[in-house]
Amino acid sequence: MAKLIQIGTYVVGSLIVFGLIAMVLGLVGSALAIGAMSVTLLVRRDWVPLVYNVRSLGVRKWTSALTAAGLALVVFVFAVVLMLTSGIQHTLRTTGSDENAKVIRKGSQTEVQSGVTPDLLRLVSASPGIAPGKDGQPLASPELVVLIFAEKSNAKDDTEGSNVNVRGVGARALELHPPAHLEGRMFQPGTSEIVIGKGLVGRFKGMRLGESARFARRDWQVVGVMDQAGSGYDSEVWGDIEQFEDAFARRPTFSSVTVKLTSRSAFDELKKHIEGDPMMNSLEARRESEYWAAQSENFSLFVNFLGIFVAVIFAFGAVLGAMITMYAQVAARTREIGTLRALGFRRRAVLVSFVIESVLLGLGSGGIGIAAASVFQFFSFSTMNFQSFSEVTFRFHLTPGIVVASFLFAALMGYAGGLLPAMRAARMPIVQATRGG
Amino acid sequence: MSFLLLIVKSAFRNRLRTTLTAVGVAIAIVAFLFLRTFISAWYAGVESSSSDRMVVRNKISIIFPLPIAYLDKIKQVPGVEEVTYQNWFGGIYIDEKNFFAQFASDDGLFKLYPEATTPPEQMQAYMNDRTGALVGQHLAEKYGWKIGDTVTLKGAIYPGDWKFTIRGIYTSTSKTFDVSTMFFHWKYFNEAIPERLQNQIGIAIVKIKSGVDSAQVASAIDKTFVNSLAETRTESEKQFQLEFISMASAVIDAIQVVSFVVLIILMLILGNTLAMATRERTTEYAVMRAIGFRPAHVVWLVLGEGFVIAAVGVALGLAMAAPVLKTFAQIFEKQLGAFLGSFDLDPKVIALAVAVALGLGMLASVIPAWRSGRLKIVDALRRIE
Repeated sequence: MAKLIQIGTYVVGSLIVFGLIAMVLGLVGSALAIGAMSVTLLVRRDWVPLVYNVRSLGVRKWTSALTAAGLALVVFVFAVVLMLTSGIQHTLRTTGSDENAKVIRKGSQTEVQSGVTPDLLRLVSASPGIAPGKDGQPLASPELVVLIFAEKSNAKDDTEGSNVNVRGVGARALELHPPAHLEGRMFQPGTSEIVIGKGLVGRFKGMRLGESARFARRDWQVVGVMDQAGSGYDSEVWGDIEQFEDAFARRPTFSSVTVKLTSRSAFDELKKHIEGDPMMNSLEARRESEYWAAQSENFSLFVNFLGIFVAVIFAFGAVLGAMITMYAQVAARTREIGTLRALGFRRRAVLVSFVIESVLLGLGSGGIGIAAASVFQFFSFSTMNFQSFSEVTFRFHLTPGIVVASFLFAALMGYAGGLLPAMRAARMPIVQATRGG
Repeated sequence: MSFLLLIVKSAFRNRLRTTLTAVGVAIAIVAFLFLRTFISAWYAGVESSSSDRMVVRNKISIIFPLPIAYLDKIKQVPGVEEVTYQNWFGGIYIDEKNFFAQFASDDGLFKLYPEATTPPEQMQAYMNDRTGALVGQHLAEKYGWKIGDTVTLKGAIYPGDWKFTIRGIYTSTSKTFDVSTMFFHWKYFNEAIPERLQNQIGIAIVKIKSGVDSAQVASAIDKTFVNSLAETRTESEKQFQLEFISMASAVIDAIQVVSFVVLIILMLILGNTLAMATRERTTEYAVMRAIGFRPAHVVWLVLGEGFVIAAVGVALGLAMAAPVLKTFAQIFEKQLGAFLGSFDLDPKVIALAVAVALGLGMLASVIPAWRSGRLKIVDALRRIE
């Protein structure tokens, strides 16, 4: 049995690969040929009017609707997946700025894994390329980042929870990343007060303005909800770094140092200085934007891959549905096709006409699919980012590129489904066709 | 009997359409199996988890360690038979994309997991080599490692390049004990890390005596450390694994929804085919009724046709599923490797797919069947086309 599966795996594997190559070549080749035909038809002005196709789709309402629904569902899945990954990337990209740099321990992938001691903080602060803060001192913000296991507010039992990023910050961090909007107020240094990102509100126990969340043997008063403009900070808990150092028994190390650069180009100078100094060679500097982008790279690749893979499999199903419909159309309209030919339309005109009809069906379904997917823009999605091992909340992000890609995908499905039926229609002999087959 | 034959004959009357529909159903079945297998792979460890093992971790979260001194105290809690421990290492093998779990483990760990087996001479060689490592069979196959090979990990949490020599390759009979993991000696690890990080353990694994109440043992352990700097959270192996799944619940839910979307697509294709078939045969049905067949006959004829086409598609899909999924798992090992595991089809998942697909096949034919059964003989016979 196992051997059978193994042999089957090789056979199917090569069949899939060759099948896909043949399919792609066939589709591209035929598309080029049909494109050329359309041009000659346009030049000679003997194409079948588009109205004919639109009306034909309308005449068989139910069949068209069922097929369109199948195609639309596929486009919907396709668009939602792209919106999902673009949302993750958008969120993490906007978290970091090109004009900031993050210094962490060499080899660490995340701030949580990293550790920076106070003596290193002093050396980093004294490095060149760092802009001064309000107080005239270099704007270098030591931050402590840990993960807490927070129970979900609707949890049935206490295993339902997720890892939430908790960031200990000082005045400098607030200068670097001031909340765009703050409901309530900022935490008071020296107290057990915290501010939470708006993505956490109501999702975890105690994470609401005025309530208190319990972790690290203390009750932390939620005094503010911050809106960090859709960035990753919206899924974090912020509090006084000194308090967190004690509560999490992390004194005296920080996780990272974020600095404001004097200019975008000052980064290279800073990086060279830090990595060239033997005292600081255990550290590495990264552009803040790149640091955050890297936090989502593998995860969005994974989601994208899984999603597109599924959408493509679905597409095969939907293309078959479109093919069935178009074959039925051709069969039912044999006499019409004969009449068209008798009126003087060439074979190629009939071929192009049926292909166009199928593509129209695809485009219409694509429109429905995208319209349905665009509703998702108003929802946010929270999940564990496998890479940073912590919860991230983001919005589904619809971009013009996604709309174009979805329409192309829909048109391609319509085209693939309509090609063979259209060829059958074009090949019908006139006499036989006018007689009704 | 002849009525059944009629059903089969009419199902295959338009051979091209039936073939296309069946292939469509087959593709949907493969997609459904793929997604469901993906989900069940997440839960595989949970289902086969042992009820006599418990995990003790820091109450704040898994990233916080526990002092090694806790081990003795845990051992003294009534009901505890044995304690072992390990630390998550989080090293990178060549590139970040080659993700697999590595643990610095107490040498007694394997005694608590009878489901994992290593050839005795390999285990002996591992015990004799301070920088030795044990790797799972799947991992060894994936990277082509052999016994005696040196593997270098770049530490992300514990800086530096760490060199290990593979001394043994283990297999496992249970999904709880993953075969894509690397183990090495905790003692070596503890000596090599900076002093301030030493003598701390990631999690303790407790084996409880048979017959004792695990919940009671758990709360007794947690009570021991209440109000200490590192409070503990003790839970069954199953709960411990459910925690990780819960973190990814949104992704799992999404996959679940999508797996039902594929079934809707299946229904649409099948329903469309049947609607077309019955429309074309309206006159025939009227003739059948005129010569004495009852409406129920016509209804069953259409329902049966839907069932036959769905069944052919399901059979085709099942025949394709195992090789197709294996192929994809092989081709896309790099992208999905850490999440796929061995990607074996679960009989339960197959049963679900068959039941759901056949059920939906019937359901898709309900409306065409109902309409065909209801038609008026005179109207239908008068109809042209």
